[in-house]
Amino acid sequence: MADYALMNQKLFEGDDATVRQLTEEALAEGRQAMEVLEEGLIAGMRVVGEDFKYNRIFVPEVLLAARAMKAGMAVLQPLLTASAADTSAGTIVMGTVKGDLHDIGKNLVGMMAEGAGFKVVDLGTNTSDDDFIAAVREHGADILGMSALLTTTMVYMKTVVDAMTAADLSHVSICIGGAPISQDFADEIGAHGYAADAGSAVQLFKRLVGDRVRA
Amino acid sequence: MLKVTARPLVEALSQRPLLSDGAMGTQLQLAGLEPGGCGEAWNLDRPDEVLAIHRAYVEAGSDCVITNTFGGSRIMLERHGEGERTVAINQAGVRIARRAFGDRRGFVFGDIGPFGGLLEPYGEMSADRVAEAFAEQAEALVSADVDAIIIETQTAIEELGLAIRAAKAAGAPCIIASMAFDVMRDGVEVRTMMGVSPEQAAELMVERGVDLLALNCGTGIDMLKAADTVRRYRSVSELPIMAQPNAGQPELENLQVVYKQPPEEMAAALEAVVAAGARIVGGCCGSTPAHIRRFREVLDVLCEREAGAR
Repeated sequence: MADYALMNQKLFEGDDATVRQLTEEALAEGRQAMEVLEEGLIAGMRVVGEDFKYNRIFVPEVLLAARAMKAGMAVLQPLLTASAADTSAGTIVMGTVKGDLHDIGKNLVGMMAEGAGFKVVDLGTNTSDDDFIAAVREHGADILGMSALLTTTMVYMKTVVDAMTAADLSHVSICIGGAPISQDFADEIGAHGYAADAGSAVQLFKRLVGDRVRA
Repeated sequence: MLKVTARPLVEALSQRPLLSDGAMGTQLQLAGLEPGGCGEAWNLDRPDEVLAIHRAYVEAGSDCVITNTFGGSRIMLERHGEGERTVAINQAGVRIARRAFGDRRGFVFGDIGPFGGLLEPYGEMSADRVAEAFAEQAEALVSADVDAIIIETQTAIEELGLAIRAAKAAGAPCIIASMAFDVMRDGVEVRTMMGVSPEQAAELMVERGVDLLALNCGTGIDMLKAADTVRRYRSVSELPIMAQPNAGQPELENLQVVYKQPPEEMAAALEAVVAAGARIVGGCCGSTPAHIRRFREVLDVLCEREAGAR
């Protein structure tokens, strides 16, 4: 019997070797890759996200859990890809804005989003509006995510929002985050969403993609 | 030659509380530094601008100024293509800060900021490389004759430990270790991004032999939260404490970010921070010479009271 509760627990503990092993075992006993992904990995990451949001755990624990999730994902990936079914929850292009080299929070959001089944295209730090737009077009992104730590670089997000509109990409949802960012700032620059932490960001992505499907 | 081991900073602190300075980064930007630009390179390329900022703080009443070397480790400077100039940038930073005092007596704190990433196993950076970068920076600062090394805006115990060790090995006359705490969701508890509590930080600092426990910056840390945190440090150690909170929270005005806590408001809460046990006070992000001037007035009153009580 695949023990998903144990898998969730080992993922939470950041035990990547055991998560990999449990993933392999679940597949060996005939479980579907999609089921293992949902119940073994994504369900575990959901708890990690919640606990992070409520300050029960901190960045180190989240990073180790995300790494354990990746270990399980590496086992599942070939099967998920081969099954040809569209398993992706959506595509997110993300990066830290121009002039800003901080990426810890952005990486955390990327890992959590991958953990929730999104395809994440990470453009790294110091990303210009042109680079964001080119990647959004190339990957047919559903969501553009931008991060900034500095109060001086966060205003560049407005430049990107305007450039996205000018480039006829206003159908792509723009989400922003970072220590100095607030919902007020998101509203002011015309971004579609803001989240205060990585777990909330994933909930936001899901909601925005859901809205797009319904629209 | 025998090195003189007198420590005028520790001596001065036993006499009276000292005033540090306010923000450097926001002042550099006012002087024209581009967002994301390498402010530390100005120590070599535009030293007069840096000197003018330090001078404004000294004229406002700062007893201590912090060198413009926060992002001055080789790892940080390499991100701007300035790695080659690491030693020169740090040494120039100390010289400029010293010049700002002119004939006045003052203390120069050589600033070491975070290396800007995550250590293994959480990130990609090896402890050896970070230790090497901190050692190089600490040696450059000490060789240019700082009164203390201040290790600022730290969030991880491991990185803090590496920086303290580097400062010790470089022979820093005094070591100040400063953490950036954030207020948690409940609005009460404070931890660093990496989950470190004030008590945990203080225990490590004491164990590694720093001279001052400090806190700076941090999301949601206003003067009163700073006072709380000072008390928590005090519960662990009797060492002198330094506090440099931000000038309130960043707010948006016409798409420009401003820190709006006025000097009067910040200064009004200064007494609480000193009463909690802070022996050096100053400001972090958004604080200006105007804030420091008001701090000076408040601190002078407190100093007089302290002298009177003695």
